[in-house]
Amino acid sequence: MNTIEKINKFLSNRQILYLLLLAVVLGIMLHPLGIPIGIAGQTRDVYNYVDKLPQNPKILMDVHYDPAGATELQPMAGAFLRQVIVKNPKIVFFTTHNIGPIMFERLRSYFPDVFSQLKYGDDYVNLGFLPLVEATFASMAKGCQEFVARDAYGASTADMPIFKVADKAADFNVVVLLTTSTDPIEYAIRQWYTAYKMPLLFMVVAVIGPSVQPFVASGQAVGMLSGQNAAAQYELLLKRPGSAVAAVDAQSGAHVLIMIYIVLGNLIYWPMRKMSKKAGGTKTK
Amino acid sequence: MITPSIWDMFGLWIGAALTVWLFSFAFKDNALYKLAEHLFVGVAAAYNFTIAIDGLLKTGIAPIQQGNIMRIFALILGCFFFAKYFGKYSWVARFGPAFVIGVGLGISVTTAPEGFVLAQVKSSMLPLWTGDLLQSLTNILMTFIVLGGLTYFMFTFVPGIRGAAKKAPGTRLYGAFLKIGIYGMMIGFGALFASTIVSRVAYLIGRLTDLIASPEASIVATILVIAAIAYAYRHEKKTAVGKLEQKESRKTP
Repeated sequence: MNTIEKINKFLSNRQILYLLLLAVVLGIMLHPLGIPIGIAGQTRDVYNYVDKLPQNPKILMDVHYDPAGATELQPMAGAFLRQVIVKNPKIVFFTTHNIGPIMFERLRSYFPDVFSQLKYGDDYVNLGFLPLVEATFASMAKGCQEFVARDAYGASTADMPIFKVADKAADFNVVVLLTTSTDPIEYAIRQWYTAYKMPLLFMVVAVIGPSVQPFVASGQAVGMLSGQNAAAQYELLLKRPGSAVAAVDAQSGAHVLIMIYIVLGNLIYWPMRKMSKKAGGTKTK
Repeated sequence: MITPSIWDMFGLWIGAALTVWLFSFAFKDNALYKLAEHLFVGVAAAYNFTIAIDGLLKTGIAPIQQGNIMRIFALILGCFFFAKYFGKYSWVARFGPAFVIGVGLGISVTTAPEGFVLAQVKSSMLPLWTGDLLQSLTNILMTFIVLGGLTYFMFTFVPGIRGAAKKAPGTRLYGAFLKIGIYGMMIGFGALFASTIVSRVAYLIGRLTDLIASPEASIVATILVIAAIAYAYRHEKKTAVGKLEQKESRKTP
């Protein structure tokens, strides 16, 4: 086995790659590098839009994510709530993800500074899990209170003061979708934007960012935050660095490692192909 | 300072242990990974069952109690699903999905053309010269990639196939747009793949953040999983040797 083959074997070993990735991410998390974070135009647009919301904005918020997506979406949600809290908002929370009820409680426990300023039933309400079918979105646009008779804790929604001002599509100033999937995005475009022209704000995990971008580019959404990087930028704009800012360094480290692997893999490919041709084979491992 | 309760500590230890055990699959399948995997499947099934019951109470039973009688029909349709267990009447179970699909189609068809076709077509009609060189170049590139992508998916009329000369201007133009479409899509897929890596690394960071918060639990779980992996390797070796011996003994009369 020559040097090229040895390097190829080393690069092809997934256990080594996982160990290196773990070492790089863990190392940087324990000793952050402090790489500067630039603010993207799209994140600034979202910040400015939220900043220009009127006093007592009415917000509809779908907590559609699971613990895996929480790393990217929870900091965004927290930063957004911290920005709007000064405007005395009325927020109707609900979730179309089956793990969503747990994620909402986690959100509430991670940002006590926000929720301690809001009175349940008057300023915010948690409608809990609603099955994700398009009909749910269509029904909520016609009236949240009528559609959901009891909140996540079993209390009747009929007497809650919040629904006097934040109930139907026309009442809401902005709809925020925190999501790991494109399904609620498509439903929201069809049932809320197209039917009622409700302003949509998407906060999504990086993996679906490119799929959601066309809706932002076409003006069907007021903005989008995609991935941990956008969350970190939003935290910086708010001047309250949090978990996303802390994680971005480790993200960059992991990306550098993957880039090194891609470059090395390509460099090794050519001599391996030559060797394979010389040996009379047609395939390179 | 808030002192965590014994249940909080228990949760932290369990969370850290399950995370380490699930990650261990990247190195080798082992007994602790299997335990974590089965635990996850069992807990997820039980959790989803309670969530379904809660949903039924909230959007089905509670509105009926408040006088919304129409919801009874939804419950009846739901009950039809159980017809699956009565062989002769199992066809009744189709009513529920049929109703859901019918309603879903009905409400989406009315808004889909405007939301997904007209708005997207409108947004791809960009001015090729805006006064700003960079923006203009971006718009030109966008326009060409859109046209290229559409050309790639044009299956009904392909110049050069039905009798037209291969070097005819139409065929060449088609070929050029086809290439632009392919390269545009490759760049798009590249961006999607890169975004996937970003999200996966974020997941890893999320789990590691929790592990750092409970270092003792993580260390104990790691030691246990190293032992489990070592056992798995030993067991594998033993089984392989055993199989070899069996083969040998079969060969010798």
